[in-house]
Amino acid sequence: MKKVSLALLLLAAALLFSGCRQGRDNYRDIERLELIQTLGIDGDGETVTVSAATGKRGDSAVIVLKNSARTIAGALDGMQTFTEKDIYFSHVAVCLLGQKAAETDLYYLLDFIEREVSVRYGTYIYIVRNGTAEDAVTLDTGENTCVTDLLAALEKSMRLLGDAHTYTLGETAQAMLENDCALVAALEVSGTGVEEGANELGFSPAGYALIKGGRLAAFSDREQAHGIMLLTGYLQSDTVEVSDGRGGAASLQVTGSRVSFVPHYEDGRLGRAEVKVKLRASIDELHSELDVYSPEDISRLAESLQEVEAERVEGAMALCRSAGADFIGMGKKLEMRDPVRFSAVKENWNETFSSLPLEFSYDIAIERTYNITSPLESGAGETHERG
Amino acid sequence: MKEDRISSRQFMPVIASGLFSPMMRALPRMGAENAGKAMYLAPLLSVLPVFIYIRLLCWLLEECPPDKGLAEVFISCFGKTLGRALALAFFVWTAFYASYIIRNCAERLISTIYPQSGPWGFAAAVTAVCALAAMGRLQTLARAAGIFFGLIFIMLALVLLSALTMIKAENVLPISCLDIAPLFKGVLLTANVAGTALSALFLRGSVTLNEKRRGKPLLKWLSLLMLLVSFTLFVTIGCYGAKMTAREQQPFFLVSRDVRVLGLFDRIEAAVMTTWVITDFMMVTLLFLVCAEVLRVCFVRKERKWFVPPVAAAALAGSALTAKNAFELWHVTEFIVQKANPAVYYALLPLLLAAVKIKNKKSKKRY
Amino acid sequence: MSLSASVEAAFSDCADFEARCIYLAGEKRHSLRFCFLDGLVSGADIGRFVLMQIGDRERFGAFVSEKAALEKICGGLAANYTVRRREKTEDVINDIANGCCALFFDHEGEALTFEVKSDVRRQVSEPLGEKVVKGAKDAFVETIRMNTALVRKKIRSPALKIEETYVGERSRTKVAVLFIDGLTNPEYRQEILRRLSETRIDGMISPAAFEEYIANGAKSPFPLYINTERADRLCSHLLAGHVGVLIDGLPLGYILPATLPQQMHSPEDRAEHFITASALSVLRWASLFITLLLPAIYVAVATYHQEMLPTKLMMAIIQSKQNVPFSTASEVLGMLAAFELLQEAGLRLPQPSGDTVSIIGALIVGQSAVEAKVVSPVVVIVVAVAGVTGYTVPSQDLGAALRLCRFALTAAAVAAGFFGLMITGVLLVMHLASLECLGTPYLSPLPHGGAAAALRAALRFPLRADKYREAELRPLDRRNQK
Repeated sequence: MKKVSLALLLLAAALLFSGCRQGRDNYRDIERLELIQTLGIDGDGETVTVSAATGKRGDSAVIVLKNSARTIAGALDGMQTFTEKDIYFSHVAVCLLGQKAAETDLYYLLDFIEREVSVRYGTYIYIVRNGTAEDAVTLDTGENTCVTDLLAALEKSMRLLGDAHTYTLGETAQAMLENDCALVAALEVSGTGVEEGANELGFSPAGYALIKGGRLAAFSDREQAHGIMLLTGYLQSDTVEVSDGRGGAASLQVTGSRVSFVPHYEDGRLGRAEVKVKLRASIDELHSELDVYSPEDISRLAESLQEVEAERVEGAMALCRSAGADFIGMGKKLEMRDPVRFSAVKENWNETFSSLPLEFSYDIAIERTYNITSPLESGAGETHERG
Repeated sequence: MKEDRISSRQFMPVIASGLFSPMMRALPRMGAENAGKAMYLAPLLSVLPVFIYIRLLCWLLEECPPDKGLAEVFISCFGKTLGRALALAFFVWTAFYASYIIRNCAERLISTIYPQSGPWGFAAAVTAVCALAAMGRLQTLARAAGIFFGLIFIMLALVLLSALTMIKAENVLPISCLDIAPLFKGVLLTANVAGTALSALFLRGSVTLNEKRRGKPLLKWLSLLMLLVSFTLFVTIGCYGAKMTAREQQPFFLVSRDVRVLGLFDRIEAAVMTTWVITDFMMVTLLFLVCAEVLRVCFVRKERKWFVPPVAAAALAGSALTAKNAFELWHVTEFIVQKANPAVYYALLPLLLAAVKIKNKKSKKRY
Repeated sequence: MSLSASVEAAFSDCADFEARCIYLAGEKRHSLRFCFLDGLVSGADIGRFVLMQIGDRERFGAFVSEKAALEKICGGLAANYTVRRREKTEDVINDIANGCCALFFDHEGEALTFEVKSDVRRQVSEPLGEKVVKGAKDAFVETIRMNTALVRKKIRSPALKIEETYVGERSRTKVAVLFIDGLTNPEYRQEILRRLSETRIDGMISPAAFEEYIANGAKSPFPLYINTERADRLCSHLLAGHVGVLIDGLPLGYILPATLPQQMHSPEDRAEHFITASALSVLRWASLFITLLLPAIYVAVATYHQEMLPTKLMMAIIQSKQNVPFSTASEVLGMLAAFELLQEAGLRLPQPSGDTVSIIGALIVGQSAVEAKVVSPVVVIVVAVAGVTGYTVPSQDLGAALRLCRFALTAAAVAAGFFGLMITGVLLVMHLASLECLGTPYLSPLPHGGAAAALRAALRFPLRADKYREAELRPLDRRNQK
């Protein structure tokens, strides 16, 4: 009994002092926390400016904080002086990086992220094109919404519309570690405040930022961004407007896509690679006199679609090659097919990638239209005979 | 007082749940560093060699009376002085390893979920609980181990299954003949870490072997343990790739930090990391029992439980002296533990047991 | 001193002790002492079945000797259904104290005792604490013989053995140990009888006397036995290989040994379809963990590990906690204490006031406290859920132990978050693993049975598939059906 009492006493003392004096800081009452949900980082190599915003909480106003220091951690710590509550970063959903900061050095951001236990690797990252992260975080969104909600809406729309895939900090860090390059979704701040009106307010997709060697190498345009999404396998859906070749237009919905990379080895060395693009689509809307049940007309539409997609894919590939790194992960896919022979080029793959002869092949098919056999026409009682 | 013996079937969960501690500490990071993306196959491939090795050691001990632990075997075989010296040498290493695990446990908690704390409170709490458990009956520990293993299994399953959607195929494939050499390193590393369990031979006198099914519980539990560890490595490396896994101090913590369980709970790393304390608890308690048993035999006493408090106190003091900070701890891991463990369990131990076997055969002497 | 004199001396100063002379066959020269305890016996039965026979010359016949008279009365002259021959004072005293009247044959040094118990006792009624929809509704009463009769009515086999002994130096309480011969492990019976015989206490009046002295209940707040008001529940446990204990004066049956999974089985499990019963059983086990861990987890998450909460939930909690003056820890501990107070008050109050107190409690603690921002609504919900789920545990004693542990776990979570919770949880598991009842581990079969044992503990299998009795009871016959 004595032994048990002594042990329990020791345990209780140990538990109570398990944080020691500093350990009391581990205890935080929940209502004393200021939940930061959006983090913005700007820097020019000398000074780092960090801006942070909370989310919308009932009728309470959104809190926006800003501070500058030599390092990110220093700037974040300094922010504490501006609020009586404990600033809490574990719920940061989005991290924004200013363009200038991205041009300077991304590795210091990743160093901070890797060492900081409170920020998740699953936090989304964006680069603010033609602007600073501070512009985005401090945007006056009015009373009904907040920056965090706008960014959530942006991520969803980018994914559904095929504008760009939003990468996480973990994915970015892994890509940079494995291949010294990474893709980061880019956005632009549209409008400067609530005075501009609701339609002008918020963020718009701005393609991808290509990061190489820890620095921003290039931005993609919108079409190239679509191509990158296709090549990286993230394209879930897309709406493509094509010409029917007779002055009309059609809106096609991409319902499935797949890109495969096939290596061709000559004398044991990687001679060339084939990029096979497979796309399936359906007709969403037709402003044309095409007969959808005519194979020739359908193939005409498919050719138009192929032209568009080819431009996107080849444009994306050209952009990546000109930037000098395998941003789309083609090397990994080639390695999967023949790891032994690929090992010869693995070491300097980025250089090889930039100069490797490529062949593009397309398998594009329009599989269906929905519900109607022929479009509505003006003029009551008239029918249109189709050949 | 009722004799405190357990069967080998009851002892296996104690060892298995304790072995999770060094395996999850060492294998993800060091394995990814040494064996690359193929590391997840290493634990499965190590089942057979480790099993054969343990059976070999058991065969070397075959002629020794089953109610004698290793310390008693050393004394009987090599004489009182040399036997005691050898037993105490193992005692020193085991006590040091216990203090190392305690220090590691505390450091892991600070670097993941209690960043504002110092390590000593955690170390003291874990030491106190382990001492309490080691002073109790072995049967109690064996029963608790069955419950704890189930809890660890459930926690692992929840996290790993939830993380399956985060796995990228290119992180774990392809596996080719180029991975054979790294895989071999991975198997050696796994065997090195698993060797810690061999200290349980000192408790041989308290464990009843089932003569008919000798190796079956061992093979079953070893396979289950390695399968779980393999799956854990598969998910960890699959989520982050080998390079990133090798950079992290606590790769599995990363997975539990980013996973979403049942679509409801984010960031369960606090629950996962504290569940991991149970594995340290089992291992440290086992090592305390081993140390206390060695001292009991060396000092010729009836009960080992009175040796537990001084062993625990020594381990706690040792944890403070072993490493004052995370950097020293890293050095201890890389330059002492990783090198000394195989030397003790894969070089010294089989040599001694071989000498025991030869001596038994020569003298044809029964103890 | 003669036998009658020693008995009368033992009962001196007992106002309810009656002693008189009886003339055998009506002859004054053949008088015998006759005594009983008024209140315990039926006067009508004494007159009709004992005195009438032995006092009537015609029925008694000629007096030959005391020995012959004794033999004649034993042989059936007295119409009473039981007659016992006693030579020791102790035995006579026990019989008289248990509702017998005694007739002393001092020359022979013997006495005859006749069981003539009074009918004034509580009748068999429905159980108060273990209500069921389906199944038998007869509950134990304070009279041990009625209780053994209830059991005997359900298990009519002579293999049902009932061994009786007396416990309590001053109370002389009769205790019956029930078991099935050829099924129950004899070690259990022997151990219980040994403990009963070695117990030197004044009286076995309260349940705690049995629970702590015999069932080792003092070791731990977790009960190592099952107590039940229901005869059918006792019988089904006897048929499973347990030992039953009935105590005179207590309307309870004790079942030993009992393990945690057995305590989680509800009496209604065998009244429902096995799928329904299994679902309810899983719910019960989930409730056990919820009642034990929910307040502690809430405190740990709300004060140390806020990252675990989904963002929206966290913001809602922060909103609700605005202007609440107390910390989360003191809120939760205070509410837990308030819940216990309400419950305790509810037990003590008379029935009419009980409902009023419940309403006041709900209004004051629930509604008004939240509106006045004394406590936050989330804490009220957490404590209420934890409290309500505690009542799904079939055993009241187990529920009480869980409530106690809940406080300890919450305090540990306040001290050190999940680490404190885990350490305390480890200590709790170690404590439970150390408990044994009559050599059977308290956690059986969970530690070494693996997933199969866990399923068996949590689910109710169809009776056809459940062919074997639980191995941890080590019954002599493992099969329960052909």
